[in-house]
Amino acid sequence: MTMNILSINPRNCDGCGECETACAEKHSGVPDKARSRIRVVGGKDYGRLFVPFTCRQCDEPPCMSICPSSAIYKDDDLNRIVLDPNKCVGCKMCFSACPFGAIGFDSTRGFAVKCDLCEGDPECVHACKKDAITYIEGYKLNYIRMNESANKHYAVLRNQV
Amino acid sequence: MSFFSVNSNCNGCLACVQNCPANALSHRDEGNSRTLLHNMALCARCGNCWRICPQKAVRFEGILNGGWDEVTTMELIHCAVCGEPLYTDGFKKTLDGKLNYDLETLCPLHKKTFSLNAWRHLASDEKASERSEG
Repeated sequence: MTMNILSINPRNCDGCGECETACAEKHSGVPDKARSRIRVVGGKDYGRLFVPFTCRQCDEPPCMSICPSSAIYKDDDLNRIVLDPNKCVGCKMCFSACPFGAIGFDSTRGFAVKCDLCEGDPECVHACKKDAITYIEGYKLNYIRMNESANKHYAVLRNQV
Repeated sequence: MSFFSVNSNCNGCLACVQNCPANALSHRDEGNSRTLLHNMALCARCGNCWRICPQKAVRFEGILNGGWDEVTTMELIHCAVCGEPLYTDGFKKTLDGKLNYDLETLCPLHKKTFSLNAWRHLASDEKASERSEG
C-alpha cells in the first residue's frame, strides 16, 4: 500500500507543458495537450507564474458526492479518486462541481476524465524536468507549511470575492 | 410543434383516417366538436393522408423535411470572467442542492486562474518581504 501524494511546486514550474503532453500521450495515445488531465495555467498575464493544475484527490470530493451514476469512487490503495468511464453518463455535474476545474470532458467519447495518478506511476512526474511535479510519500511533506500556505491562499481568495 | 398538421382547408371528412395504413390517425366527436387526432409513434410517415386528402389540407412537409423541434428552453449561466456558457440555471440548482453551497459560476480555466491569482499575490508578497529584508 503506497501513500504517495502528487505534490506540485509552482515555484519550479517554467510552463514548458511537457507534463500536459506526457499525460495526453499516456491517456489518449496522441500528444494533444487539449486532452491532458493536467493543465498548466499562467504566463505573462500572471506575473510569469505558472501553476500545473490537476485533481487534488480530495478527502471529501464534491465530484464523487454529486455523481448521479456512482461512477466516481475512492480508491484507498492509491489514495485517489477514480472515475469509471463505463458508468459515466456524461452529465458534466462533476466537471461543473469541481472547485479546481480539474475534471476534463472527452466530448468525442462522451464521458468525463480525470487524473488517475497513472495507477501509481504518474507520467507527468517523469516528464517534469524541473521537479515542479513530484510523487512523494505523504509523510515527507511539510504539513505545517502546507497548512500555513493553504490558510494564506484562503485569505487571498476570500478577499478576491 | 407537431410534425403532422392540417391547414384551414380541412373540412373534417376523415378520408385520411380511413386511409391511414398505420392507424396513426383517428378522431373524436364530442358535443359540438370533431377533433382530428394523430399519433406520431404509430405514424409510418408514408404520406398516404397527404396524397388522398380531397381538400389538399394535410401538411406533411414537417415529416418529410425532418426539421428540429424545440423541446424546452431555459436560462443559461455564463462564466463570470469570460462569459463562456456553462450550464443552465436548473443545472446550477441541482448542483447547489447536492453540494449544499452556492457554486461560483466559473469555467474550468477561470477556476484555475482564481487560485493562480492567489499564488501570484503571495509570490509578490514574498518578493516584497525579501526586498525589505535584503
